[in-house]
Amino acid sequence: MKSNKLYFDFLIIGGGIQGCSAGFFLSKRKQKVALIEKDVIGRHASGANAGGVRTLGRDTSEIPLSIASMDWWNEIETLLSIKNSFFKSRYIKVAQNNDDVSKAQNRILDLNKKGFTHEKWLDKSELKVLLPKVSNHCIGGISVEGDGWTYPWKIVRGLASKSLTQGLQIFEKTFAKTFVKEKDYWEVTTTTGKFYAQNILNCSGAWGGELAKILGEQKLPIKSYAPMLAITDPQPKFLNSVIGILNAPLSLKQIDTGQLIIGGGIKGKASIENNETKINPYGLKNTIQNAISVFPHIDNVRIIRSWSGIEGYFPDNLPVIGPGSKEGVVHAFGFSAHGFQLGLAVGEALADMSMKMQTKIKLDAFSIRRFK
Amino acid sequence: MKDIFDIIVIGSGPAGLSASLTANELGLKVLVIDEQSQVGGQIYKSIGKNLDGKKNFLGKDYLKGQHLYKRFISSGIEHWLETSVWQITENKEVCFKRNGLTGIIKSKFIVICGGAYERAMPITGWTLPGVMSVGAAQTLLKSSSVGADNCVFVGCGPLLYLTVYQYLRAGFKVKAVLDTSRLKQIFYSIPYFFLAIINFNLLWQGLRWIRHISKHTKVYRRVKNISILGMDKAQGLEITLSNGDNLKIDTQNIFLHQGIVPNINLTMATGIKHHWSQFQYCWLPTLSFSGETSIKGIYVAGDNGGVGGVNTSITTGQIAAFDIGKKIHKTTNFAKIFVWFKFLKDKSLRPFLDILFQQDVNFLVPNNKNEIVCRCENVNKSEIENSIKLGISGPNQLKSYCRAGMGNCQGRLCGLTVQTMIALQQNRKLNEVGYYRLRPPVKPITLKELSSFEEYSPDEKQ
Repeated sequence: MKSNKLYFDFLIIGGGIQGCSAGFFLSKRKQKVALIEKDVIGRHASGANAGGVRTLGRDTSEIPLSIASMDWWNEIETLLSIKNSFFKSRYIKVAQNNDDVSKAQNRILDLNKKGFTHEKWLDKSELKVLLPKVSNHCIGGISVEGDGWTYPWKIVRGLASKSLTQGLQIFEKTFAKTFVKEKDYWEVTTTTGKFYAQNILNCSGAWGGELAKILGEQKLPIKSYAPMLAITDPQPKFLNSVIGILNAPLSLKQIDTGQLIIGGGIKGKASIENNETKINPYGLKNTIQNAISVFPHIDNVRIIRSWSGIEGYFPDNLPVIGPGSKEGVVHAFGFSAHGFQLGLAVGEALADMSMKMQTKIKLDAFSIRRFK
Repeated sequence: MKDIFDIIVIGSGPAGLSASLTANELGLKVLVIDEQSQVGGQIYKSIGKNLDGKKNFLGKDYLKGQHLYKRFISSGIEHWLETSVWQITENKEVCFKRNGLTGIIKSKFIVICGGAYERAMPITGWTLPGVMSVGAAQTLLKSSSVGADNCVFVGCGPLLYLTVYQYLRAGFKVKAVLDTSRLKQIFYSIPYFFLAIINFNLLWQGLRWIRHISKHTKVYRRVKNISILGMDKAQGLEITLSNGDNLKIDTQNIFLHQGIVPNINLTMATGIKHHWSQFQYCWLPTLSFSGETSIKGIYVAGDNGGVGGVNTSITTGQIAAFDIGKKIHKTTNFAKIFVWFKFLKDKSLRPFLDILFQQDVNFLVPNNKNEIVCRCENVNKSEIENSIKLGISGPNQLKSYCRAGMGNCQGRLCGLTVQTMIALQQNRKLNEVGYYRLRPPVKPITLKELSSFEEYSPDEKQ
């Protein structure tokens, strides 16, 4: 290489929420760190997602990480000096029948037993107070006060620009092709030149499985899809909470412009080879029916646009977070469309792991070795 | 999904009408979809209502459409009006909206004849009430004979001169025509003139319009700076003439025009390959000689595939239908040779007109820092400039920085302006800057409409 400026202690692959967050924490700790991104920061699932920030309804193994992340979310606007980027309210998953109610109440009891008390039951009258426009057949719900929503691209870019001021070097349009382990560092050949780093952080989302293979892991059962979202014309304000429903896909929120964003993890087709996503109208239909079922008055609202980004999914819907089998490799990818909220705590954990420190939260459930 | 029709034609302008008529004559089962309440598209707007001959001021070309219209109606081709297409999937399924419901219908062949729309002309004051596009003024004239006296036409291009001509012939007073075409373009267009001369009748017709206009109204040529005056509505214009003089014109009705560009929202959202045309200053779907796109079985005809005017629209529609007929019947119809000759003849006029009236970038980017560029989201020039300064990679990243292009019209009005601004400010090539990533629904649909989405079957009345 021409100069030694491309020698780093840490090289992050992927400029999504996980990579930018790891870059933020490592640069905050004054480490010599760089981030490479094949496209631009936040191009796929981290820039194009529904922006839900929720601890509600998570797999038990994810809850500690999610709650730890929430502490960072509560400070995010001051931390990154960006305004109007995290809108704190509550998340409610609505129950539409008795089956929903019994399942939900069992879940709350189960969580309480395990020591988690953040999810609370709402009865019909409480639900009506919070959601005056909710359909009469909705008989309750689970909610978490303090969850909310965000503009995802603002957060990803906010993390990136704050990290730049802390000394992180970011290389966009840089695609990593080969990784060769030499003694105590990795030689990474990219489309824009060679990089040398002691530690590699694989934060490459839907592309993480392929990269993991190059980095010496077994073939992983990761699949890529494009979670779809739709946005409507602006409406008079009627919704303060972020809405989901129990046992069916929906995420519905009214953003500060008055527009409704409807998503909920309905998967469109994605191609990681040519960076393309396809909108599947049948899938959208399903989510829309769920939205109208909860709020019948929005049936004449017009959808003006839909979009999607590419996301990696594991069969158990849990991400891979943890050290790889080769020395100096750490993975965090495949968040299966619910990793944005986790990103802040994951970034901190990645910084800990790659600096060979104990993580604050146990991450055994997310080990890459669980697929062996 | 079973194919009920051999071909689905989207749009019933000259290209759509001729494609469907030709396909019908070849014995193919055709469905025509159009979002208007009558067939005819923009050029033949309200053609079915104007058969009585009372509107001769619209000219011979318009009246020619009556023939096509009558043939279409008597052919009995199935056509769904007031039906809009909001998506075409990669499996050639057409998603449509009709009578408050949505559905999907599949076909091996689709011909997209979505026509063209006018480029925005975001000069100072362009969003004031009283200002509209020349195309909109022409539509009012065609559909309900409505016009405004003492109006001023601003811009350049064949459609502008035609509309002024029609306006004058319909008996309206035109206060002035501010022609923005540039002198140097006349020199550049000379080589193409020799090609265009095959169509001397059309050139002569254009000259006649211009002479008629000069006789009946004041024409200012090579106008440089134009601002529209007024606080809550347009009250007049302030202009700089080619000799540097400033002039004020009082008027409350101003019609703007800077040429037309293909309506690429559906073709782009379908995933068809496009390329940048510096000649026509717009994006064009990349087509084979027969009009087939990068997706096999999907064709584009008419101005949607590159602005060529009414005659080329008719021939490209026929050519596409012949090609599809050949693929279905596996035989060649030699009638198409004549169509090809006609196509080449009509097409030879275009390069001359394209160069003569080539887009002047000065009228595509506002002079005034506070002028609105994205009307849907109310984003002004300086907000866009500031976002570009942050080093954005293209129009798509710009969307999330300042919301330009995120509204209802999906960038139809601001797309070319934003692309040009990025190219100028970052000193990059226009084709490299790229365009907005367009996504379905291409036309807004309500939640209720989408929730009714299902496969079309001919037994149920949709």
